[in-house]
Amino acid sequence: MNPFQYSKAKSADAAINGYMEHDNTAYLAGGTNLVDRIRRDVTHPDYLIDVSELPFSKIEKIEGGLRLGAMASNSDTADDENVKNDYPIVSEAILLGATDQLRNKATNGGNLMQRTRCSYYMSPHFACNKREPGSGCDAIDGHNRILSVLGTSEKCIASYPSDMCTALAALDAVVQIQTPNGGKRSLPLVDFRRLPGDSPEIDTNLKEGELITSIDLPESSKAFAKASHYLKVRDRHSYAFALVSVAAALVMENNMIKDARMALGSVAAKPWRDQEAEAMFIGKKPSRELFEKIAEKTMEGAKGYGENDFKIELGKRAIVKAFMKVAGLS
Amino acid sequence: MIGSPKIRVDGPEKVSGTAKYALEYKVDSPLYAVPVKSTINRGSVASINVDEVEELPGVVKVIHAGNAMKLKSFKNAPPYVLVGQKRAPLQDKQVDYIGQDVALVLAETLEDAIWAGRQLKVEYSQEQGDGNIYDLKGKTVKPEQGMLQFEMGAFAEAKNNSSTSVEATYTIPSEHHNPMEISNCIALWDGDRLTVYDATQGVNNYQACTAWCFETDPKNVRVISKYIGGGFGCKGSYWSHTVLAAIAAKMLDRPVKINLSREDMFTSAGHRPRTLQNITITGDQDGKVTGIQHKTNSYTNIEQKYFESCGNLTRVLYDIPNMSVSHEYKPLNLPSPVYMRAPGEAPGSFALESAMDEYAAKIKMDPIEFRLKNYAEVCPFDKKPWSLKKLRECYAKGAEIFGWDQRKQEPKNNMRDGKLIGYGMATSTYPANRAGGAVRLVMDAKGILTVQTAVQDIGTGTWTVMGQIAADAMGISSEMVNMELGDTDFPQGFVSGGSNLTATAGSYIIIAVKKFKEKLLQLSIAQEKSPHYQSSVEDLSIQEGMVESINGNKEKIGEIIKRSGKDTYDFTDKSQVGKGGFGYNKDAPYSSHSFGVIFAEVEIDPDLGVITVPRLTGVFDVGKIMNSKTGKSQLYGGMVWGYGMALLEKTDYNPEGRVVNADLAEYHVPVNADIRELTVDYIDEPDYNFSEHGGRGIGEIGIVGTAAAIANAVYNATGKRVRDLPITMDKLI
Ligand SMILES: Cc1cc2nc3c(=O)[nH]c(=O)nc-3n(C[C@H](O)[C@H](O)[C@H](O)COP(=O)(O)OP(=O)(O)OC[C@H]3O[C@@H](n4cnc5c(N)ncnc54)[C@H](O)[C@@H]3O)c2cc1C
Ligand code: SF4
Repeated sequence: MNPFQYSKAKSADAAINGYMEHDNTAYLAGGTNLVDRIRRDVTHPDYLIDVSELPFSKIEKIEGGLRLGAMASNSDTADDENVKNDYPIVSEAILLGATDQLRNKATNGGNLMQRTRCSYYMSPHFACNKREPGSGCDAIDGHNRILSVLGTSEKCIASYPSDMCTALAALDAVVQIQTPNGGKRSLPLVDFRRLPGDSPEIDTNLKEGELITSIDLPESSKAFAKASHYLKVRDRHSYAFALVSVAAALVMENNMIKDARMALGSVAAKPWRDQEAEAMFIGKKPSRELFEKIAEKTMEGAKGYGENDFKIELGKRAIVKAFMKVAGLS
Repeated sequence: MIGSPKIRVDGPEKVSGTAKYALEYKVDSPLYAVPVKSTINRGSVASINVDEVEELPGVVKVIHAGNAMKLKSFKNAPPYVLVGQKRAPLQDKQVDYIGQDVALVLAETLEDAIWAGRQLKVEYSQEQGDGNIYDLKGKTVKPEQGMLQFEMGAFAEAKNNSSTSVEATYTIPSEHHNPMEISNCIALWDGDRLTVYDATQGVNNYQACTAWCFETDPKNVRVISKYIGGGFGCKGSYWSHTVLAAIAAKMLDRPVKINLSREDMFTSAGHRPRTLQNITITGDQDGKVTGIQHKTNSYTNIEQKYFESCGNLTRVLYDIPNMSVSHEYKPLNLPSPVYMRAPGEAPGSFALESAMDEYAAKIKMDPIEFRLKNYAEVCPFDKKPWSLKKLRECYAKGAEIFGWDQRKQEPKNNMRDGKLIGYGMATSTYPANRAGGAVRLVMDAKGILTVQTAVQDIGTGTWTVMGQIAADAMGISSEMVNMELGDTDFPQGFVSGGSNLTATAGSYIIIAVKKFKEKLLQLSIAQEKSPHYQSSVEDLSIQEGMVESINGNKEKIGEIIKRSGKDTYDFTDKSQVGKGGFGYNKDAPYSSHSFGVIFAEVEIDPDLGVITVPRLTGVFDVGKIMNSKTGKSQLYGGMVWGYGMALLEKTDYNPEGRVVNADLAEYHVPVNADIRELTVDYIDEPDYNFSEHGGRGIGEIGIVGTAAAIANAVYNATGKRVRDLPITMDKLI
């Protein structure tokens, strides 16, 4: 690994100041993603600011919802009573990710910020526009079985595999950010990550030096607690990223769907939500036919690149399967 | 004693972290070495920015073809000098594949060495190479060995005269061993004497190879390997890390610790090559097979002629009068493939046992009944009697345990809780291998027997089992045996590979202990103060550490040593089987093979194609089991490997021959959640025609047949025949 300096931040301000004062800086939380990339010769920060002990590790009720501290571990988040009762799909999704050891170390902020998944990105010997802008993309004509079918560009087809964030995106979570000028701003989680377009090297809409302090879940999303399911489809029964995942949630009234949420994971560079497809649920009676129609619509613009062609069909089937379960039809 | 489920003697050390692995030995002020690997598949090194990198903090030296110590080439080395890659590293500038060593960086810390290695800019003059594993046809070579090109009867004629036949092509991707412990070592010279702490399946082989290339007497090279974090074949042949460490230690006159990365394990310790197998089975409607053709295409390194001998088991498994078995391979610009757990048999059994299932399905016959119709009463290819064969018993016992009678003959005909259920089976076999070796036995006045032999425990239980065998032969408890292994200072042993070691070392230890026992008893009857003075040796026996005569006199065995006036009494013995090495011995009166049967139940989500294997059952005929605990673990482990082969493992390459998924996040091996109910049983009958204790090897047979059993169960569940491993959901939806 490359030589770097390391310091542990005592406050958010100190962390941000440290970031702005040094060149080529990175925040370090649990390290499970960043350290891997440093070790593999993919990322070369000169200065690491450890943010893991900043006071944002609580999970607490706030006005209008529940606040998941950015430095709270994935394990603590999954085990939290309020998360389990009011937003069970978040807990379900986290527990299907990685392993106990990784989840103990991984933080919510780090999970949101983990880079897209692609083997070609992880080795400096391959052409990769994300790692080295303009160098090309070896994955597009290569072994792309795990990569994206939605929202791709000719520059990059890497996929975002976060289980937690797929569930959070479905529930309209909002990312709270502290900015370098001492201000605060927030971004809906679903808009936090970017599609590759012409600049796949930029994964998120976070700006230089900005620090994530929490991810907030709105009160209104509690309505989905009764009927939700996170379906993760993967090659190995544990300790494997998803090929496709579906966060599915419904609010039922008189046997009709009153409200619906659907987010897909591992099929795009961000958690995938399709408002038009979600609108198709409203006011309908749940049925396989309805879900199949919605699945078709969701995958309408999907494009396969060879090995990953199957993800289009798999995605459709996963949507149907997840909603059949949520609707109590299977 | 033999057979009892004694827990591993090395267990406490392993679980408490005190067991020392190669890199954990403390040496005085070591240098850390990191190899730098080539990034082109053919050409030569044009330049390296050595001066620049040697200026970096902590860096001591960069060794490359321009300044490396010269070694003797392995090109003309005899077969006992078993190397993975014939070209010794850093001897010239030629590059044959991606991942070849082009430099070695030495620094005061590991971090400095890794960082400096990454700053090394190697320029190449590139030539057109071929590293494409996805095209196995074209310029291929046929190995000449008789076993690999085998014809019996007239297959073409049999095919013309048959009423039924199946023909299919099966592909298996390249796979990597990926043991937990990476191949690393420490090398230190003391004058002309070299000591290497290594992770090897054969300390004597690493000694012979090192001595060969450094042109020194093997006595000057000591290889120590006490604990090994898994081998699976990638630590049997000699690879470059040991040579590199030894060169560097010599050139810089300091101990050197070499550190390969997990990524390096995908280029520098061998792998199982991708195979394409075509099988035709011909016969009649009643299930009698008249002919079989098994063609294997594979690849190898341009210089190293390793080939995957998939067709070998086809000559052994069924009574088929007309056989045609052939192999060809394509030399490619890739690191050499090598033996990987059940080489040949593991991939071969997937094809053969899938094809057998296809035939049985075609004539709508129960797959076991079909196999019994073609049961081989003698070894089909040499017509020798089996030393012992209990495969029929395996089928019966396995079917009973598994509940085979619940299987539906018609595929896609069994649903449970919304999932498709399928049952499949496959026959398993592996040759019984046994070689020779030497052992030193020392008895002390306390009656403790020390057993020294240069074999190694690659995590299988050798430490424990050899102790049990020696104790049993001596008539003492295994607590009274002190095993000493994993060091070339002990008498020459043998490699842990080809499932031979328990039969090999177990047998030569028993032979030696029997002679030693006789000598001790002779000594006793000659000692005036002995209670057995002037008895006849025939009237004496040793039980539970007591020397006992038929008239009831007894004393502790250590008393003999006490009276002798010496501290210890010792004896060294060497015994040999056949020509010394293992492999097919045409002079042996028997054909010796292990057999077994694997049953699999699969549960498949009809919408998503997700496969679960709720049950795997294996019943084996492997002779006498030495330790029912470590023995079962080997068979469980083999079946878990088979699961991985069937459903998970696959190394992806780019067209030039670079591994794409060179890490354990993307190269999947099974985890606990994959493995549900695993049942192992065996026909515990000793095969004394084969070994002294009646046991045969068990390290590999568990994997053989498991992939086919799962694939056959997938067919039974879905009606889909997947002939390309691994079977993943995309192939089912
Ligand atoms: C083998 C393996 C398997 C995995 N499997 C799964 C899986 O199945 N499902 C899944 O969802 N995930 C999986 N993961 C990913 C895992 O969830 C992430 O690695 C983890 O969540 C990252 O969190 P961290 O705290 O360790 O982040 P770090 O590695 O510390 O940081 C990651 C990135 O986030 C930035 N960062 C961290 N905190 C902040 C902050 N507060 N503000 C701004 N930037 C910040 C860092 O600068 C860095 O760029 C797996 C990881 C591994 C290694
Ligand atoms: S898909 Fe994206 S991350 Fe992968 S190689 Fe192409 S550009 Fe790089």
